[in-house]
Amino acid sequence: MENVVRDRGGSATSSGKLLTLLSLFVMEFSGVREEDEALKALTSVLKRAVDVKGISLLDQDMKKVTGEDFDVQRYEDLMKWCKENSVSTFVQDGDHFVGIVPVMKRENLFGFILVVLPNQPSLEETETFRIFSFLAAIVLENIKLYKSLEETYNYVSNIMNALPEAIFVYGKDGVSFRNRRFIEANFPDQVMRKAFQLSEEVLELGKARVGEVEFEREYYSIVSQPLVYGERVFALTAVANVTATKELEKLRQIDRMKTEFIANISHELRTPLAAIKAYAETLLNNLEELDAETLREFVRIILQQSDHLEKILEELLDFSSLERKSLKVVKEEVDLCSMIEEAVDAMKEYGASRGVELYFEPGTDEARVMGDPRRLKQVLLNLLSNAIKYSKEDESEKFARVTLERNGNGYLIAVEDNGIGIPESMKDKIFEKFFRVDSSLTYKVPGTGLGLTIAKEIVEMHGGKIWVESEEGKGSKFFVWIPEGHDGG
Amino acid sequence: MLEKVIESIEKLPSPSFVVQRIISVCSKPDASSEEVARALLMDASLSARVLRLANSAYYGIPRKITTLSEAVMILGFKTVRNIALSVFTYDMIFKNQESVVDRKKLWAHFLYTAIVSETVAEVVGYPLKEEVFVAGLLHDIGKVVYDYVFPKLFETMVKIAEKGKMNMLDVERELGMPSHELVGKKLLESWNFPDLLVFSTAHHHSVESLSSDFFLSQVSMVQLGDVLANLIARGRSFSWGDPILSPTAMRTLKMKPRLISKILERAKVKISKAEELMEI
Ligand SMILES: [Fe+2]
Ligand SMILES: [Fe+2]
Repeated sequence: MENVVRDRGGSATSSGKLLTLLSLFVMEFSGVREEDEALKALTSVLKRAVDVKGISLLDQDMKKVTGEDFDVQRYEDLMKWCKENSVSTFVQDGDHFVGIVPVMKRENLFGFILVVLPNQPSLEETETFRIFSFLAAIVLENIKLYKSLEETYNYVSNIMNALPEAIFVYGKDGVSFRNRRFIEANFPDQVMRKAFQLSEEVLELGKARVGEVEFEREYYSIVSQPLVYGERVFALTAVANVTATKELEKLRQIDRMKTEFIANISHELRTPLAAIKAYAETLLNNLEELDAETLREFVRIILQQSDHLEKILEELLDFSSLERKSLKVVKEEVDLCSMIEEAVDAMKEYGASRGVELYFEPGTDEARVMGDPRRLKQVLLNLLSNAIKYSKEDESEKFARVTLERNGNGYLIAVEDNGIGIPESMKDKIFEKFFRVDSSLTYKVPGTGLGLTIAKEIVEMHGGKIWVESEEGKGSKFFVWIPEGHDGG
Repeated sequence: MLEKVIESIEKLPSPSFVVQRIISVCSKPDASSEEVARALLMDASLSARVLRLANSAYYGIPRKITTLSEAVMILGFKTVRNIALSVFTYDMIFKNQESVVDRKKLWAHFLYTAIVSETVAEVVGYPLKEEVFVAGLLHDIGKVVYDYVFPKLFETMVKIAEKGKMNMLDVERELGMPSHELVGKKLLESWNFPDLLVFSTAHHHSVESLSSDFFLSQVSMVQLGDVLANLIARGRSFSWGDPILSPTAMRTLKMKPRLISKILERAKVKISKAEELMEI
């Protein structure tokens, strides 16, 4: 048996040449992304490997893609046979030889290569055709697979992008997917920080987390839930700007408050009106019997109640001009010291009636600003009246202290009391329309609930600021800062 | 016992010069189909049988092949070599005057295993499927050696296997005889046949003890081909035990139940066309 060549793999292609051809193949195929590119690269390798007179590339349906024209019909029977048996074949046709090489992997046919050879193909040549078309088929299958994967990915991405929610997928290595809505939304950093924090929590706890962020008067809701993919866990997080929903909620609340306000204001109007009516009736029916002292007292009460009524009406009027944006300030030089003194004096009597002592402790002698003296006084009167109104009944030494100091390029007025205080959650809301800390329906404390809204408007029209510091049950401290020489507005 | 068997191997029919020449030419890179045809023509009877088989339904070529050179071009060098080797193997089985077993069954098992093994190669995407065909064809050649050296004993072994529903390998072990794997291996080695054929014959029941990983996949294909051929036609191999799928082979080929049923389906279609190969 000395004639038998004992080669290991059973392939007849000598290894040196095969390596060269493999290198060519790798080079030709390394940049290939499309099916027709792969088939062209294959013909290019084959042309260099085998002495061919002509080469042509056909698709699965035996239609020519590129190369020489062939009378394909002559070989149709053999092409079908090659396809069915996954083999290549060679036939003599006149004085040349024709090779039919199906490019296929398992049952997947990608096309055919037809070659014209001047000589009978050697074993090495037939093996070359076979091996390289096989390799090309693997590349082609991968291209196809990649394309179908890409298609699936695009399909899913399209769905994701069509979603009205802005979503992203967060994993251990950060964000792995963002949908279009999310990219377009471009959420502020504050919102994203919260979104990432919640996503991290989801990764850690494996449970859904929700949160809300308020930033520059916009409201954002964040919902993050675990997404288990194989052995890895991701957080699927949806971020939404819910300001519109919040606004709607607010409008509904204002509506509710308006109804309460009307009930409240009716009550406020009725009290002095009833008093005036009762005293006026008594006067009318018993004019002859009443002595001068009683008469004076009755008329004083009627006047006092009329003043109160007038004050309520004025507040309402201010509020309505505020609503119509026609509240006016007329600016002139104002001496804050004397203005505060006047206001404190004006409220002293009311304070005394409630057992609340009023002080003014000026921290500066000179405090002149440009402003509307009547309006600024109105603010102070309102703050003082609140300090008295919301005093604590069981407190032994009730007080309301006003201080004034220079602050920046303006003056800071503070009105401090030791009254019932304001709960933390209410601090921002007390400046809103119709709002009262106690439920307005209890009528424990009289008032329209408009005072602070108007005060805030007035202060802001002066380019100033109003805010409060308070501890529930201990007292409140309202601050009003007015700039020195505000011009315009 | 093994020595006696090895001694007797020399008396067994060996591949004729023509068959040797064909094997050799079909491994030569620059061989032409003309060269293969010339080698075949030195044996007129072999030439006629090869040409007849090349035109058989099994290959199903849509054109009539009239010359051997044409047969080599159309079917391929390796396929024609396989036909010649099939004829030789068939002759070797049936030339035995002393034999008392049903050798048609054995030939059917040889052929079926060749076909199924090749189908495994196709399904797993191994390009050199013709090599797997021969490996399948010759895997049980050790049984032919037994039929030559101990015809009577072999008949008894066949009967024991059938009655006891045993695999031939276990019968050999119980009788303290060298396995047909080892005997076949010795025969193919003495013929100086390619390593793949030697290894697949020596390990078709023992893939896991294969020393070289180089042939692991191909031997696994033959192992699976043998088991499935036994499943398609029980007892043709004179083995009656339960067919055992080798976990090593399954793992190597990344076999899945879906793929196995696909192989069976395809192989059955091919076998149904192999009528003419049953008597060559
Ligand atoms: Fe066996
Ligand atoms: Fe077997």
